[in-house]
Amino acid sequence: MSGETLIQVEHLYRDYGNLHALRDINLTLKRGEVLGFLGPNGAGKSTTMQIISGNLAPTSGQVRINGFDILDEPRQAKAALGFLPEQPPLYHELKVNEYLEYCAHLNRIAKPYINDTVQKACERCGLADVRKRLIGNLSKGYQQRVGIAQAIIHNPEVVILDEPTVGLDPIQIIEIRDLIRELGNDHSVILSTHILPEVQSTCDRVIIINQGRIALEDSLAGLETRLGNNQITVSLENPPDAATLMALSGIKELEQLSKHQFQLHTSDDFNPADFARSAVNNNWQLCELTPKSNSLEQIFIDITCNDNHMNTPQTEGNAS
Amino acid sequence: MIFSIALREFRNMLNSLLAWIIMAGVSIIIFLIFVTLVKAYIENPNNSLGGQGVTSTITATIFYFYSYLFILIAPMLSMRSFSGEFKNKTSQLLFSAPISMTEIVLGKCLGLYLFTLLTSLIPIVITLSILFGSQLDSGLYLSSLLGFVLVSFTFITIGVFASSLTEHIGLAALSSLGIILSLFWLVELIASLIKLESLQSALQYLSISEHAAAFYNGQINSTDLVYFILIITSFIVLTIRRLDSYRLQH
Repeated sequence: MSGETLIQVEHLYRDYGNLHALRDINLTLKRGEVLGFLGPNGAGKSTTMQIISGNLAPTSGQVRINGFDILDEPRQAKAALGFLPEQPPLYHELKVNEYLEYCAHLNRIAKPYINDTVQKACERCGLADVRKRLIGNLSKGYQQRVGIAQAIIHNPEVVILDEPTVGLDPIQIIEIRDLIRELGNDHSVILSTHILPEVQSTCDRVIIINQGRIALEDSLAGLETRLGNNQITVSLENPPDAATLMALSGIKELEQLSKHQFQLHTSDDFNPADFARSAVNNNWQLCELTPKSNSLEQIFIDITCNDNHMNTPQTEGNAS
Repeated sequence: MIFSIALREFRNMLNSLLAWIIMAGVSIIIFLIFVTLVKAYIENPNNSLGGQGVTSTITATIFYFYSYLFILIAPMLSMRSFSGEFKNKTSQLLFSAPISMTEIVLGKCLGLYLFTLLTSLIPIVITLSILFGSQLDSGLYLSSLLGFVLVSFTFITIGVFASSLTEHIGLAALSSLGIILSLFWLVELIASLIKLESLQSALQYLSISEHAAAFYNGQINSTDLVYFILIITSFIVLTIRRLDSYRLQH
């Protein structure tokens, strides 16, 4: 995957009257990346996506897609973009075939290629069996797939999916996730959701947005290692008193969970090997040393529910 | 691109029950009026409507009447054009596709014009049946048909504009009815109440019915043609502007 930047969003602001829906949103998306866009309800996820897709105008700020400004050169920008809104834009009185043909026309696919394009989109989204059926008669899962087929029909560089798995049953969710992961191979995908496992299973990078601001931005791997490292659970059969433990380097806080078990809040210069060595040397009888991996859920709740409690450097940088 | 949107809109009309009900109603009404007019003409050929010919007394009257019917029909045909898309959120499909607002609006209008032409087949077929028993003045026939086409296209365009204002379909129909009535009739009514002559003629100039009248007498005046082209273009431009600003507010 080349590192070419496909979406660049700079200093995006959007006000609805006195309500500041978005405040200084910046993001970039490179080719072949799947970006998870997380946030509680009303955080500004959909607004951001609508602005990136050209359905809403920003109050100020710039959106460039594949190098084209969405407001100044909308045609070129939108040609590189496939968008599935929160509510898929389907004509219920059309057949799947007819609808996708219309979408292909709208996306300026030349007439001779339309049949092939529609067929390919149907195959990719598992719609081959329902091509002749009315969209209004399809189940919600299939309608969602038609929505995705519509977004990828012109093989755009960027696919934006706004909550694509809402209201689907678990099997459908797994299928749609597989499809999204597959899309990530040759498209760039922005995926908005408030379902956290979805992000963990599909995304390369995560942006958490809260109250119109970007609260956190990191790669999924970076996020997990960074936040998993600052708490460690240890069990010692023969524990020393708390002060002795606190005296070790890199321990900021100590929490006694039971007689033998301790929760250590550590700083960056803490080294588990050193801790193990001192445990052996002092005969504390170490029997557990587990880095506590913060789930994404924990991070999300920390960031969105309690603004003062978060201790991620990005947050403070962006919020100021 | 314009054409595929137009085709979609045209097919939507063919799929809608309302359009067929309207067509059925129109057929019955036009036919009854036609029969009445023919009967009156046969009973008293020289006296009806000042002793004019059959084209003037029957066919021109029917097109004239049909354009009046369109005051009610046009809002119903055009009310869904954008309101429906807003309501079902399908407008997002159009707005995120690589097409300009101008193309979208022209496509929508064109599709509805096409359907209007299809409905105008009803009075055309009915009036052409005169050819079985008489001759028609083809010049007058065509000019009154042109008059009807221009008036109905104007109404449809106004309807499309009204539909772009709101996502409530009923409200769209009502507001287009309001705009059509004010331009067609109210302007003239106000003009007749005003004593000041310059203002009176200015108001009269705005009236749709004033400019349509000549067509039904067999006159095609360039001022009337220009008026209709201007008014249709203005409402198309207004619709485009309105949709562009739709992204700013809501």
